[in-house]
Amino acid sequence: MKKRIGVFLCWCGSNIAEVVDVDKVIDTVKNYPAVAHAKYYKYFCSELGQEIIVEAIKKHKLDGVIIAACSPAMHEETFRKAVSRGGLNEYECEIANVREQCSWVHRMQKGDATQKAIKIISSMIEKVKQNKPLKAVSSSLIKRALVIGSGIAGMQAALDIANSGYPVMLVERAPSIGGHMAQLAETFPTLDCSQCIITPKMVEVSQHPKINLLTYSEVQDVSGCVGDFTVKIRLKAAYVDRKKCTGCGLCIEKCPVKVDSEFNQGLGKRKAIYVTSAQAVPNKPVIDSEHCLYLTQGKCQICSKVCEIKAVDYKQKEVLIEEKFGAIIIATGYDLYPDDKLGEYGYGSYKNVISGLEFERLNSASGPTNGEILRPSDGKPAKEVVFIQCIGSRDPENGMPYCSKICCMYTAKHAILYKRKVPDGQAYVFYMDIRSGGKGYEEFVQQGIKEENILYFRGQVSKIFEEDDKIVVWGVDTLTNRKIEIEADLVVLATAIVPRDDAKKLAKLLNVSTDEFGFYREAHVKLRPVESTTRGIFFAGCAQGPKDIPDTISQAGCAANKINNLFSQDKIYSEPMVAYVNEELCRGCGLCVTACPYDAREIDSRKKIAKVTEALCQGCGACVSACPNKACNLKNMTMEQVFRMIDKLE
Amino acid sequence: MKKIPYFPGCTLTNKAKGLNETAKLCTKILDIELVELDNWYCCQANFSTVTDNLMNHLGPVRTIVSAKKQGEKLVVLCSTCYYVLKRVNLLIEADESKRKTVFDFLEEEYKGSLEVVHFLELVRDEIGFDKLKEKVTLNLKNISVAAYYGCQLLRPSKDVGIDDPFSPTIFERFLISLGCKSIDYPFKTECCGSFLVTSETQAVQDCVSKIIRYAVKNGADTITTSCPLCNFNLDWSQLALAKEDKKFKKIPIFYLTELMALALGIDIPNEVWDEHVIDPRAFLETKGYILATKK
Repeated sequence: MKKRIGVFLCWCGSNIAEVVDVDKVIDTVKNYPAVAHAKYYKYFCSELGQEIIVEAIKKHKLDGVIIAACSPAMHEETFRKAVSRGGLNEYECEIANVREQCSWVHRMQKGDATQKAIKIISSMIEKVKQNKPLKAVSSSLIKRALVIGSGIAGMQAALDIANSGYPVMLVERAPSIGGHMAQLAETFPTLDCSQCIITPKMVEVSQHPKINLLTYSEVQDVSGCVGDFTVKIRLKAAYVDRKKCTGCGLCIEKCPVKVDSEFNQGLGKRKAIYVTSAQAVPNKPVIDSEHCLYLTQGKCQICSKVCEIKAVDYKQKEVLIEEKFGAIIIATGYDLYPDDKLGEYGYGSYKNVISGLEFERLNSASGPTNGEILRPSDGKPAKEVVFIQCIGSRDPENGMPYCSKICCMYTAKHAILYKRKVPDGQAYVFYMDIRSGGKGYEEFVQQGIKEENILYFRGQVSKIFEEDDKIVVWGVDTLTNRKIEIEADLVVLATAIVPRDDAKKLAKLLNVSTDEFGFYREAHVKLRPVESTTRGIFFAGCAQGPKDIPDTISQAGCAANKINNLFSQDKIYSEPMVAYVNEELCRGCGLCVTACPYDAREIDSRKKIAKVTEALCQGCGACVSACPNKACNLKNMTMEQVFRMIDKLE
Repeated sequence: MKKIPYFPGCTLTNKAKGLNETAKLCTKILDIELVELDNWYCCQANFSTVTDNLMNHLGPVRTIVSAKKQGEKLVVLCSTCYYVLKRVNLLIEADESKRKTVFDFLEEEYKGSLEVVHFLELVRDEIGFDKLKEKVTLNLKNISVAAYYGCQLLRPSKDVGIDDPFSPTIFERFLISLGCKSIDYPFKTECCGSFLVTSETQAVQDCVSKIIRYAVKNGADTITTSCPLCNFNLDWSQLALAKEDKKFKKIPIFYLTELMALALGIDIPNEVWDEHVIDPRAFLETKGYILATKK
């Protein structure tokens, strides 16, 4: 049956109409045999514009619609909805892109642009002629979420999903949860104690009936798609039966091996059997197999001997489990700019040059000095402290080109905390710019400068060296044009936030993309900032880019909300423009199975011909070009449609 | 014996003959003959950062062309010459249009890349510190040396750096192979004041004062350089420093190849020592190194 197609050409204000001769386009296309109605309007995306389309469909009994306007990425969904309000199947509506692909790029060639617009529309007419009504593909939805990483981002996201009633599995590779935030002393701009605000959350996570917490575990493999991910998780050998263990701590007390504590950034020691900190959740130890005397040399076994309930198990093996989820949140956090790149600042050679996170541990009441600011070299009080910002940040030549966003604020916090603890001491800050955008942030920085007399120098440090027991810092104050020389007791480096070293590996497992540094890339920087490029996978926190605690919590809530939205449906609905097989032509050669990048093709074992798993198919067309028998086709983008479209473009 | 072309440069044929002569004598013992380029030009003593005047690079390019005719590798002794030749070589290699302009003008053909290496790199990569150590006949264990890199062996590090720009060790490893005690100090990679010696002697004195003060404080009784200008600045400025401060103790400044020659048992002629402002012979005498006492 011959189609009755309506063509609606949008002016897009003047974006299209200024370049393309809209009268000429309408006059030309309205004479095409398949076109029953053609009309232009200033803004078809507006409410009035959409009404015009709806009315025209009814009045002219249209069964196909072409909107000649902006890119389909912009308003395809809007117009498809409008068309369905007019009583047509939404997949009978197509967009002819005459803005991005025509008027915007041919501003200087108005005549040619008009001809091109006509061609784009006639080509689309050929497609619509053979379009068929389609129904969105529905597939099963497992209403259970996986959150990878249990810093503040992961915990918040897990809680927000769990509190909506959906089960969550929270996977953490460290022995306990809390991430970097658990290491912090106080937080800006209110100076709340980090422990006081995070510990209750850690406990809530561990006790929540809807949250299944797996610590000391890592995601090993991921397959499937939104609604139905299959994830393999490796539970590492802790050498302690953590279900049996009561967390009495006797084993830790008696263990003879001391190694640098990761939690205290190497400023304190831990045992070979250890919990990360006194506040750790779960507060049950694991054995570090690299340092345990029994596991390395077959000697000792003291922990096992002192454990009354026999929870120590040297023979424990790692376990691989497989779980199903409908959606995933990546909240894997960040690393700090690597130590070995800080040689310029004497980090590693001079004990009294430390990183910001080490300074947090010195400040922490539960840290290695119980919160006193003492020099790591000799334990003497630090009376002159120099803070240097932008270490590794905003340094395209040697470090990272981006701003790490939080360093200005945490340095201000460090300097204020220091001055409150050592009122007769002096704090100096070298900075490039003070970036204090955030609620109460600028006031906080000013408070440090005005009330605590922290000396800020706008300039970089040129040299740091040790003389006697002081660290001599040479720098410049570019505002007064003076050279600065400070004999400091302690130098604190505000090191850049960088992606986790294995972020790209995880991205590969999850089939999501990262930016050039390794931060996870969002589907759209502005409009979809918590969604990955793969449907059903979301981000929270610094895994996506540097951010502070309030931003992280907002993003975690947003990601959780996206998942809650998804789970509020009964099924997963996806675009129906998927591949199909002409069973009479298919010989079951299997070329399409190898060609498919989404695991959507397989050979039906009974019929011995290829079939399509519609929920997995992304409509890429790889199978269509691979098929030697022309048995594969895409719905509403058949080979015949494509060739006819090309013909119209000449 | 392996023959490798080398570039002496102007100063090594004039004020720093000692560096030139001792280097050639030393490598011979290590089975390498440094063959002077048939045709070489002044390196121009500076790498011009003016981007639109290629004339500034012609001297070094001519030298590179000539070196390419004699081999794949060119050894340079002076830090400044090394720095300039290496940077010009990289520039010509990386920028096709500049390369074409220069070679069209010179009516020469570009014959692919040349490897410009500093003498220290030659010892490290071609000879090896272990082999050097084996050939040492006079262990210089009584001498505590502070290696002085200056700027041009290390910066810009991506282009010319022969080692880590902030904590290099190649020079120290070289000195340790000779048996010397190597002294670390925070100013080994700082500038010596360079050409300012012709116009702003005070600035050079300030630089030199810090370098020497910290080296001596950490136990050095001499400083070693690979650059005639650094050597001169460190050496000559001490006269003024000693005049200003009666307590200032002058120390001799060696070229790396002078210590190397001593350690390898080479009979060093007096002309070499005569080039120094602060005569090293008295120092060597007190340290008990006989070879130096034939004044």
